[in-house]
Amino acid sequence: MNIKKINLIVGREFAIRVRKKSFLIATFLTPLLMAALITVPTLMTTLKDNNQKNIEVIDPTGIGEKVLEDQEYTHFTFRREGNPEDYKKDFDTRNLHALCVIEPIEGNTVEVRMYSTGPVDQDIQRYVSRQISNEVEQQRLQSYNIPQLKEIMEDIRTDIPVKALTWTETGDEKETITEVYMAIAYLSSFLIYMFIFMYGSMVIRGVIEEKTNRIVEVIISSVKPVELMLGKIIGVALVALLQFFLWILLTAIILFVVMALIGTGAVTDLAGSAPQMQGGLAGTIASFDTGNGMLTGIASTISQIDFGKFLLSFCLYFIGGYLMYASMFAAVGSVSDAETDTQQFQLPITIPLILGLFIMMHTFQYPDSSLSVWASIIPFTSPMVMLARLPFGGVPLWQLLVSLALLFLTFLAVVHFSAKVYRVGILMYGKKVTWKELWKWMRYKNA
Amino acid sequence: MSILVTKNVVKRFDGHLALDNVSIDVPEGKIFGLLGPNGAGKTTLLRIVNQITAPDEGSVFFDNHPLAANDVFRIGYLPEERGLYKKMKIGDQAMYLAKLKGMSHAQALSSLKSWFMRFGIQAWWNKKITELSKGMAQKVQFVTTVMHDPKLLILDEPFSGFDPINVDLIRKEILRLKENGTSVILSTHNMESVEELCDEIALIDNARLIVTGQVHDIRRIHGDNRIEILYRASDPLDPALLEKTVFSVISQGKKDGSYSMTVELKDGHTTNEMLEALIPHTNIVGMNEIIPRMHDIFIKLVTQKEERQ
Repeated sequence: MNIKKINLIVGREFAIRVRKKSFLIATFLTPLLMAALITVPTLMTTLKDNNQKNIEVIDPTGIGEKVLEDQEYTHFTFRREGNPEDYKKDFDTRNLHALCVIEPIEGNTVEVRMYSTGPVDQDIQRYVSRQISNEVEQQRLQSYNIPQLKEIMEDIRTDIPVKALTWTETGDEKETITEVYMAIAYLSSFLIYMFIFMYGSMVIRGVIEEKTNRIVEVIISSVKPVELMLGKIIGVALVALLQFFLWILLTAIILFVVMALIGTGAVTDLAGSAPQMQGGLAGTIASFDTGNGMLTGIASTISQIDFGKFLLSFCLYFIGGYLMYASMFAAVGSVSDAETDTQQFQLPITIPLILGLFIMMHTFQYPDSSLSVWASIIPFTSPMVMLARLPFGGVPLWQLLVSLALLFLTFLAVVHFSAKVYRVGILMYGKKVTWKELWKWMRYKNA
Repeated sequence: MSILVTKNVVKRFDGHLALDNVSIDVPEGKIFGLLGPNGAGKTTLLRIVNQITAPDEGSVFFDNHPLAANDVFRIGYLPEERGLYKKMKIGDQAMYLAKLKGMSHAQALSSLKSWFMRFGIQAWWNKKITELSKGMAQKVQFVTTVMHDPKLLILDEPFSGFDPINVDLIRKEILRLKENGTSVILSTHNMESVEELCDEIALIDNARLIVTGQVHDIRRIHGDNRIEILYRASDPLDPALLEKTVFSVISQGKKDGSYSMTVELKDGHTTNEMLEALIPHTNIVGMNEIIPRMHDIFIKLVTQKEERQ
């Protein structure tokens, strides 16, 4: 193989892609979107609906009057009796947000209904529910006539949080928050999946473009087909790495600027909401209160991940996984005349990729299950699954090394066979290729 | 001296033979025509010479050594299925292709500038292929085939996509390159250009080499010993009166105010005997040996082959 020629091809593939408008747009808009995803939820909490809301309460029990207090933008008025039907006709002219009806029912409790012509504010519903539930609970407790009830209640109230501690290699104990691991695991393996898919498709498009432009035979009269294929794959990989790097850098810059603009007060809010956002992505993580304890917990958790090892593994799996899948995608492109007829061969390749994503969803909850362990060693799923396991720690070094070795060996094997398919495929026009023919091409000694 | 020699080249695809023991010898500094019907194996042979694919058996020698990887730098190949990148500037992609042919940046730039000047297409340097007509794109394509001053130029249907003016331009360029010592392999279905340009040919049909040699030898060999005779007389000759052992009359007609007659010499007889037989009957003003067109030889050989099978 001629490195100089591969370099030339890499240079062209890289240059034409980074000069495209679509690349510039994606590169600069995505960080804006990311920054918006992180900051908007925080800003939203400060942008509450601040119209005065009047609520009339028909309450024969008197519970409401006792526990419902006016809030910043909410005003309650109470009546001992009344008929909701009377409000129905002229509700809109009464300047009411909602009509609340509290009715005593069987079992020493009440039923609460809210009437309105529009949606009722969720915060108000939650407030009313909480206050009235507490009061009914109190009243029922009191009905047992237990002396010194208040003191007893104070005494038995408990709230025991579970503190997760991890023993580090040096024998120290460190506080950990599993959710942080989950978020990092999810994010990193999803990124790998996304990049393999996005840039793998870019390789397919590039191969088909050269075929349909009929330039491919001109090129391979100067370079070997395998050099053209590798040059294209590496060129696209550099585009991916550049884009990835710019995304991180730009997102950081935008976040920094936004924080500076909003002020320091918001910074802690942001810091708190960032893991919440990741938690939301992970889908399973319950929201938790933002506080200093939490922040130190997160910091402590993150500090326990061996970042040098993690980043190195991320890069190795990204490169290995991408190279392996992109070589297969290049072979798919070579046997297709148009993007629309890539489906037949693309599907079998994307199945293990998607399978890896599904297993990863399992892995970041059960990182040490046998499914997770096996899928993190088998090359076609290992890039996604191993990255989901790594943040939790506890992956034996031999598993990591075996997994990486298998990934790169498989890559070499895949390139070998893809190149055989590729060099025949790129010179075939207008012919529907079958699996049987592909198999034959792979066994040709000299195509 | 030969620039390219193939010895007993065999290529199989999927059990069927694409090339069956093909041996050709392309002389240096000449234009060599590679002829044959579609699917005969011409493109496969050209791809083997360009190392796009390798032969299953046999060997290829370029410039007196076994064909090697670096020889692609000294070969220029214009494939039949050709094109350029649509979204890349013409100058940029010409530079790219030149560098892939092993040229340095400076070499590529100066060679391309002079070729663009020669073809009067300097203004296209910053344009894209999509802004040009098909003929214009073919001009650029031709330049990218010859820009590295190859020792051997391989042109597969070079005239397709050109208007007559540009066909003429390319034809002159091919002849000029030959004058400067470039060897050319020309694969085409256009038999007129074969007669006009080629010094030698090889005809491949059904994976086999049918005939190879100098164009004028082949034409003479495949001639039917036909002669056109022009004579002046008040009435056309009556063939019934003429001698039938030396020649037979094929056709009669009028040409340029004279009568004409095409005759076929019988085996073992000479033109002199024919003239002796004719002179007593009429006043001969001209005589021409009819050399068959490459077109007819091509059809004759290819159909004969099919009949044999």
